[in-house]
Amino acid sequence: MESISNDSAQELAENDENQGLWLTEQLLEQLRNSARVGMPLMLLCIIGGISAAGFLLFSLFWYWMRHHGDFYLLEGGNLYKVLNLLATSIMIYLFARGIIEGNKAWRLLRSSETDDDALLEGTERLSKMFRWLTIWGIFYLAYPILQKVWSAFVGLLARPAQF
Amino acid sequence: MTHTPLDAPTGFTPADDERHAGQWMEGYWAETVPWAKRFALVIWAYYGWMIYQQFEIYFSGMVVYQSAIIHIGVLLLYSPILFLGYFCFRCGQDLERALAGQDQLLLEKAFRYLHRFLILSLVVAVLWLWSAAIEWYRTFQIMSELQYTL
Repeated sequence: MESISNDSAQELAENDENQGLWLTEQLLEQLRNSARVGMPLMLLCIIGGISAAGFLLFSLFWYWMRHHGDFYLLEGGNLYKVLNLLATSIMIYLFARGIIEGNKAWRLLRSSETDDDALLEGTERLSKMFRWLTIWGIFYLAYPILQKVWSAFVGLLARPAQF
Repeated sequence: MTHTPLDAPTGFTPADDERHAGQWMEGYWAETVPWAKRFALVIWAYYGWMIYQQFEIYFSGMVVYQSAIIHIGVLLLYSPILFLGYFCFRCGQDLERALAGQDQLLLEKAFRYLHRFLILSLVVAVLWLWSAAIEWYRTFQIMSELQYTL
């Protein structure tokens, strides 16, 4: 009877030790496999991001340079062009922040097999990657909606007075 | 007949050399959860925006000889984005549940969804880059033609 109660107590103690989340070999291997996919993805995003940013900024300045004469902010749609340039710059910055955090996260997680600090820091940067990419995504979606609101506003102002 | 005790382990037994995740690691995972879910919602919102745009083009009548099949085809072509959002959301959701219930198996499942999310993102990124390069080349051609005609 005493041995049965001792066995139960031992089982309970083992159960308590097994509680909680563990850094199992399977989990760490999964993270390293994800890092092997994440690194080329970040590299592709960097190439795509730089190309898209360069193209967008070049297009903006190209259309801008075609206009000859003095620059007046409230004429010729110049205010829209300035706001467009500002919005594009913000989008580029937010995307770059997300991708840089992601690049650092996957680089650290890839080398986390023998480095616990890299594992910890990589996990921290992973949450930052999602945060910056979410903010970029919200801004990217809000941008065309803001363009429509701006067009409607300008259309409303351009409408001739009824009386 | 033996009965399984209610406090029996749920099927996971750590190996001798494995260690606890610890408070810091669980804290960082907890930080990742809301942002992974929000990113998934943003991905799905982007797909919703594309549906709206296709409807807008279709009902505007601006493009002649346009059929609904083309727009449905475009939406089907972009449908992997829905799975992208799903994998990201499941990663966040399973991570949240794993942390709440201290469930090791659910934790590993969450990171499997993260892996699938990354693989699909890589495929989508390659396709996007390829189509964007074609579009930029065409735009540059138009720009250089306009430059010479002025």
